[in-house]
Amino acid sequence: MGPFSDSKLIDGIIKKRRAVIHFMYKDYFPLILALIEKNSGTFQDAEDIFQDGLVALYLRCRESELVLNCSLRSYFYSICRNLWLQRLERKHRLVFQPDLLVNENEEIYNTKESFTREQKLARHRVFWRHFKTLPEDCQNILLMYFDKIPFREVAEKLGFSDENYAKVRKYLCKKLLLKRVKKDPEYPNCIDHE
Amino acid sequence: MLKKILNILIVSTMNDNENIYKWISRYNEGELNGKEMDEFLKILSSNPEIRSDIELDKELTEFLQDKDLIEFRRILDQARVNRRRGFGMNCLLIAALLTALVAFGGFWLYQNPFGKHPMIKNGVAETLDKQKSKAENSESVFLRNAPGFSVAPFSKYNLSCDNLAANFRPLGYMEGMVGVVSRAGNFHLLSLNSQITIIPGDTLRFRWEEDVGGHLSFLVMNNRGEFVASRDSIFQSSLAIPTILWTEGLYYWKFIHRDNLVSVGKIIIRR
Repeated sequence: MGPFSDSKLIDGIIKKRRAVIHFMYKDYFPLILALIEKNSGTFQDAEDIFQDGLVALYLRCRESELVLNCSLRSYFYSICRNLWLQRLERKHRLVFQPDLLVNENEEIYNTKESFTREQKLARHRVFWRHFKTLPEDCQNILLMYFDKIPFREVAEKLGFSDENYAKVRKYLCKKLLLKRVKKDPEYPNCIDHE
Repeated sequence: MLKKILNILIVSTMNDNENIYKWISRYNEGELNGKEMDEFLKILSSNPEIRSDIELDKELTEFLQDKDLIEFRRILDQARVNRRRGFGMNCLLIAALLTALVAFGGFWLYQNPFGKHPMIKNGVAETLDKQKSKAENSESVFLRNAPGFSVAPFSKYNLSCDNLAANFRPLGYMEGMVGVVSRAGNFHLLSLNSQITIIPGDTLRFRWEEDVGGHLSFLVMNNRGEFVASRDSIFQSSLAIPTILWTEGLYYWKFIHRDNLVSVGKIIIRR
């Protein structure tokens, strides 16, 4: 039992508390790493799946109250296992080997939850990967624009000459992001073909 | 006719990559007016490839609108970097620790080479180094040619030349113990002769059958009761001690097994 109970961890995730996330990295990551490495994955895969798992957990917690009938560790393990299963299937890689590392009863993670689907998470990971490499003013202008801040205010805050420049800049930044995403070799693999 | 020309114009405009982005973006953000929307939908129906771009733009917009999730991802990235740094720091610490251990080990070995023993007094040890190395070599050569006798891999005999026997005067309390044999630890010497007479340079040889497992020690004393040579933690089943450096005189030897005196004898070295 670590310094956080399951309910405190869930609460911390919803509130994006750094201490909780750091704790999860320290305490939960080795478990996920063992799972992925046992099933033909790499350290990098484990890091990606772990992050996607945390995002899925965050989205699930944010959506509605999460009532667990198993430990959070088992639940999180199930999320990551399902994500990895789907990714293996998508990439036509090796068959997943069941792992009995977790002895507790695992709650079956609802794979039908559309928002936490592996493909969408993978796409959003690609978006995020390129978004964070955009110039800082690009990141800010896009976030401000989609936060519905008027262009005039955006221009003032970012020190642009006028709102027209802010508009053009926003358009160019988004276009740049789109281009980078489309060029990403991982992106075509995570498009939903259904 | 005019409508057709207009359509061609729009298509040619739409085919321009620069404008496709603009139209798609405006479409997804609801900025197209009625007429533009109609035209765009027409183009869309005749060019389904644009649909995937529209989907991408739409999803990207959705992604950018979720400020909370973007913040959450930032925190995750930070935690990931910190964990890697922590891992890197741990690796560095382990590497530093190993380096320190190796350095310390090397230094210790340099200071305490095998065979060097505190019984050797500094002043004497220095003058005896050449003789000792000659003795060790002779021992090795002798033992290589003598089947059944092995050289202890970890230690040579330790000799203090200050304490060599000067004469043949018996040492009272040791004389009374010569020939003493106990069966402590079931250890007993083969072909035991409690009194051994050799000429200078001969090698003392002892054999036993028991597995002593490193719990056996051998000691040699001069006739003043001072230690001359010793071997600790003996593992093998035989022992060969060259006496090339020993002076003529009377010596006593004893075997100690698991802190029990198991055998005592004397050595006379005489030309």
